[in-house]
Amino acid sequence: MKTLLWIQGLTCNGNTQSVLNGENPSFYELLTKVRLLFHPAVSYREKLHNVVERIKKGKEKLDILVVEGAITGDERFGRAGKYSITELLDILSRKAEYIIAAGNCASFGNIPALYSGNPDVRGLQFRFEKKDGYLPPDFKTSSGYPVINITGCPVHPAWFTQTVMAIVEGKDIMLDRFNRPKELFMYLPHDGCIRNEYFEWKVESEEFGHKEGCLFYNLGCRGPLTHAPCNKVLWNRVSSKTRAGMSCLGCTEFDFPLRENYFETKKNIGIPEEVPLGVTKRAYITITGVAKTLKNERLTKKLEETD
Amino acid sequence: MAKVQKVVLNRVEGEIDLKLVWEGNRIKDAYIIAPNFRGFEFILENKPVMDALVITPRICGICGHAHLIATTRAIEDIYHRAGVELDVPENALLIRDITLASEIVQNHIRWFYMFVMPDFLKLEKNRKLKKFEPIKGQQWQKAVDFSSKMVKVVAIFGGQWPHTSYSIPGGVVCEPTTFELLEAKAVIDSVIRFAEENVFGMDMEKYLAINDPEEYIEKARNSDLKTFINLCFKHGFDRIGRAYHRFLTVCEMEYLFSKGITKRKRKDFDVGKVKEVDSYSFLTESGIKHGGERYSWAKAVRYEGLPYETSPLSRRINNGDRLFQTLLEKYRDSYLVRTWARIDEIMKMLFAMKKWIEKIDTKEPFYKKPSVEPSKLTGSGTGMCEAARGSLIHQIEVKKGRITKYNIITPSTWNLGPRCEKYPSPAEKAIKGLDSTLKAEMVLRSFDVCSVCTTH
Amino acid sequence: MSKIRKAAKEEKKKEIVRVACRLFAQRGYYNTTIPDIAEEMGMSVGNLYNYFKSKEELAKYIMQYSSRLLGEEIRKINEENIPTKEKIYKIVRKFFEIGQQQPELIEYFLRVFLSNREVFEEGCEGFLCVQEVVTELMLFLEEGARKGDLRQQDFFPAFVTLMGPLGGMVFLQGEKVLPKTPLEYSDELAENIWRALKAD
Ligand code: SF4
Repeated sequence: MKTLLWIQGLTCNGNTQSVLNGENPSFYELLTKVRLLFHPAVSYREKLHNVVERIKKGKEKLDILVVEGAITGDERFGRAGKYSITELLDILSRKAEYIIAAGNCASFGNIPALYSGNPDVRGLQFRFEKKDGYLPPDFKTSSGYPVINITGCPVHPAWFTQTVMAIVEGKDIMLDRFNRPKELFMYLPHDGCIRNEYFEWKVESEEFGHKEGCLFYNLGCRGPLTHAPCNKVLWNRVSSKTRAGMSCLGCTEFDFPLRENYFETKKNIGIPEEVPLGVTKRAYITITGVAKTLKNERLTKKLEETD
Repeated sequence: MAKVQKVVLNRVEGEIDLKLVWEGNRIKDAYIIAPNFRGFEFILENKPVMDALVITPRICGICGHAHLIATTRAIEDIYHRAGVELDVPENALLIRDITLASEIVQNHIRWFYMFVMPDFLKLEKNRKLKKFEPIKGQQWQKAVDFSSKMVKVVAIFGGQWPHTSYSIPGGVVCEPTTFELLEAKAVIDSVIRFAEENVFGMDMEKYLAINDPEEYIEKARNSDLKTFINLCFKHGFDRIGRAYHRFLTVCEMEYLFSKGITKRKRKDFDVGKVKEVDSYSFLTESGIKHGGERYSWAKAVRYEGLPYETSPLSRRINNGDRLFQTLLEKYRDSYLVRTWARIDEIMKMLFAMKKWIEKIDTKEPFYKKPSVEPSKLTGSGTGMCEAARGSLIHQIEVKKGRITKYNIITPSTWNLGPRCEKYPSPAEKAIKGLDSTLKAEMVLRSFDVCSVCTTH
Repeated sequence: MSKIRKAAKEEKKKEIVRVACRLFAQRGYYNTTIPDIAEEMGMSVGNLYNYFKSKEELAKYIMQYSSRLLGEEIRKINEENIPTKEKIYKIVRKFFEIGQQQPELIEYFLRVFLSNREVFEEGCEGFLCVQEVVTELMLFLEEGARKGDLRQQDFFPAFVTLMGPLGGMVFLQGEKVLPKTPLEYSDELAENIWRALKAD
């Protein structure tokens, strides 16, 4: 059975909490397929130090290393037990067959990397867009994979547990340019959003608090610009931000913490600065101009009042 | 000579170290060390004020929603002080309470089963406790299932848990249908059944009528709370873990608790009397300082100069709850009473959630857009809420819509912060005098340790 | 249809547009009939119907045709790597150049399109028939503001500030009160538009 070790850097624990919400498989179901060496919130007899020393001496094999949280080498700002976070990585990254970055902090550095008081904060292999993480750009574990980034702030439990299942079952995992599992991150939150028809016909929400309307034009929705299957693999298996009425924040992308004004669409003279992935601004403006003029009557009413 | 021992804690939210100073076989002094620091208050500086709604929930993966509510209220307070009344719709206030309560119930379930009960497995070898074993134990698994189920309620209204930002100045972003409300209700009912059958061994109605601990023990069927209480008596946890017997609650919640402080008597809470002290903190008014006697990233928080415990127990006491007044008289603010109060809150919150959800009127609005753009705001505001672990305070200053200062005082800062010149923090005090490391860890866990909130 | 025949048909269409445009502008939309246009073209009425099924269709086509023509020209300017200010100068000049070369198009816009809205109700609502021009102007304005050259504002005031003066100038020319050709005022007008739109 493959082994799994979960360590934490600078984190909010949100990825752990999220993974605990998992279904199909749940976290504990997953742990019948892999042997957990240690998890800071779960283990009760095992101590991190002992596990690490065993791995170091070759007495314990480490198959899957999961890292939650951003990496800093500065011990004043972050430690994991008796180790600095980078010390821990130095020992474990050489031994692990696979390394998974769970969430945006471990992937890109994310919010903790914004703190100017500690400039030494990064992701495992990236720092925001650049391959300037703690591990070298060409780093690969013994399986031949780079660090597999399962991004998101937080990570979605199913994305995580299913990636581990893919490893356990020896499946090929296709990766995208940020080393995310392609088959998950080839979707956009826009795909499957229940507001999609409003998007199509340019019926734009002017304000929050309504079932109707698309949040792209005024309220900052990043659904058409973000890679994540949030409206395919639903959150907590019941909904998603855009379904509930909240703009997608683009939290699976490296630039999530670098952007500002999440609840507003950046516009220049009333025209959105960024347009959906895959279309030119010219095409977007043309099509929206047409859609705006040719109305879909149904979408102009409160849903309760439609035929 | 005093012996110094350093203990690294697992099964807490994040990284916490405990430095114990031993004298013979007693702990003479205890230092709670929060070694990790991310700098959220600094990161928030100069951001557009609305972005705090996205950033502050990410302070904590387990109580992020409480941070969202505190931020929302703080921004609403800025509006209010600037003379702009927001008129937040009743529906929005109800949903915020429902989702906050969902997060709290989720927290208490996970904490009790994942962090508290496994300690007893270490304390005694007992086949009957096998079901509490992490990962494999049946009760552990149920706790994970039902705590996960509970936060589906947050997802129904807010899209996801953890880390949603669906509560905004003026209301909430959602406009649920009757059917979504019914789904949320079904989730609540299902968690109630879990609580009745597994946690309390008693129907909700009966439990809410309990005024006396003996009465509970007598009437309850076999249940995990009952098992816990018996274990506490058996191992003397009704006598250890006492803090200052002073309680603080900054917010009220309908049907659940009122705000106030209790020293010897109950008094009103006044946020102006809250002060942070940084003499033992790396984080000071004049920048980051290491060395000397400084040992934690957290600051100490004092109310009128005194340390206070803030927690579900504080909420019960400040609410004048009969069961807990009795418990307090008998066992003071011990491990048993503090922990029981957390578990107790599961049932009380579920009860309140059911009431709140009935009051939602889908024909009424859920959001009212503020008449002034947030980018025009200049001023300051305070937002408070009662989170899983106790009182949470956010203070924001803004200039032309941008944050100039953001100050966060979390429940864990109150309970687990470092000492000030005069007093150790409540948790440090509660550990003093104990005779084993395991007990020290357990007493610390009775405060529901969250290091990520302690330091943020 | 062979390529050559297609091209020939396109050419013919252009010719019809020019003639119809002139007649509509001179005599008014309702006073011009399809036989009038056929006669002026020297073709049979039946043949003309091969190109346009109705007068209304022809009228709309003329608008789309001019929009495409002008849109194409602005697009070229948009794609040039030159400062925003210079783009304004070029757009204004291009507009008047077309006006000078094909005055009937502008006349048509003012005297038919704007005066007989009922004809254009279906299929030409909103910006539909002038989509290309509006799209290019949107792209121009967006880019200018993104670069920080133009002041942020709502789209419509900016659009009118840009297009209004051009229409005004052509109108005055039509009224025969302009001492010089609009093209000769082009730079001055462009400067005014630039100053009105530029960032502080
Ligand atoms: S709300 Fe966002 S995700 Fe949904 S349709 Fe609109 S743009 Fe797409």
